[in-house]
Amino acid sequence: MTGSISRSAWERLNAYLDGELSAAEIADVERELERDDALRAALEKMRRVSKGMSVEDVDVRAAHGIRSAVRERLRRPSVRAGRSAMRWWWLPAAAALAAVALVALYTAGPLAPTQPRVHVQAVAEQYALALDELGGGQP
Amino acid sequence: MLAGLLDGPAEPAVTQSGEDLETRLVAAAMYGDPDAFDRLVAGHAAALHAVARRLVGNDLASDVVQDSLLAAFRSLRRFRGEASFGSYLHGIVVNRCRRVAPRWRRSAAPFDALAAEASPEPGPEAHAVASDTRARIEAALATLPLRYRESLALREFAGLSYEEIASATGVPLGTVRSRIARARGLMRDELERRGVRP
Repeated sequence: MTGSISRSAWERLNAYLDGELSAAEIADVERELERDDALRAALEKMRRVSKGMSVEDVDVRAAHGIRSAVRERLRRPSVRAGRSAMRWWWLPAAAALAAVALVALYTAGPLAPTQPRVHVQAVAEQYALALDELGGGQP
Repeated sequence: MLAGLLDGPAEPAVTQSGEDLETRLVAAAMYGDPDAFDRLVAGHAAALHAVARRLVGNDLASDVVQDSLLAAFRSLRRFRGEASFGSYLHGIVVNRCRRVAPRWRRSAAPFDALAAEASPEPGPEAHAVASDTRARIEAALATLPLRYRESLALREFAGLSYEEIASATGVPLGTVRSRIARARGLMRDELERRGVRP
């Protein structure tokens, strides 16, 4: 991959290019660069390739559009308010489902009592209480 | 709304250190100030788009960045300031790109997509040659596996340090160092294969 340059030397050269070495390591690399033509050529190539990779006009133009769209979205009160409301949307549905499951369990399921009416009434009362609590606890 | 917090007592903006201003802006944005958030994002948006474009292509990049910024605003309370704000934003973008990238790779040939985007308008010969080289560099970059492309794009287009890249990508520092070296090695091979001598 890196020709005659060892993997560790290649990594160090990249880190040198990116300014990620300590002062002592920089001095080591620069000594090697002075005496190794291949290493110097590899570094120059990498520098030129790096220059070919930069933020372009198309990115700057896109950034303006993105920021405008984000600003607009954030100014909508529904973005934040909607989030807290959305967080609890499933609670009433879950409570209703649980109540239906309980009713089924106590009327037709294995827990069916000898006097279903009494139990159904109790479950219905629990459900009503749960809904009351949910209604009071809504944000 | 939070003018006092942002402006400070008759303190000119130029005397505030960048970090200081960023801290104030983050605080204001946490309290829901969209202008503060916009100011925070202003210096990063183009680089975010440049990185996203190399990870998911031009068509999806804007949507990915926009969604990422909205997500960043909503989860701002999770930003503790241990990493730079730039690496926080780039981390969110990279995560979203990871979800979208496989779809992009299936739906478009990365080489053709990026090379076409980088193609220059006809112009002076020297400019055309430089632009052609640039297009080939883009094309070579697009052939890299995503994990290498991520690290190299964050380094080259966003100018993040290795530590910031480690934070944004969630990999150890040593891995970032080796991925960047590997990415540049693969790019060098690819450019040579295409007969490009940068």
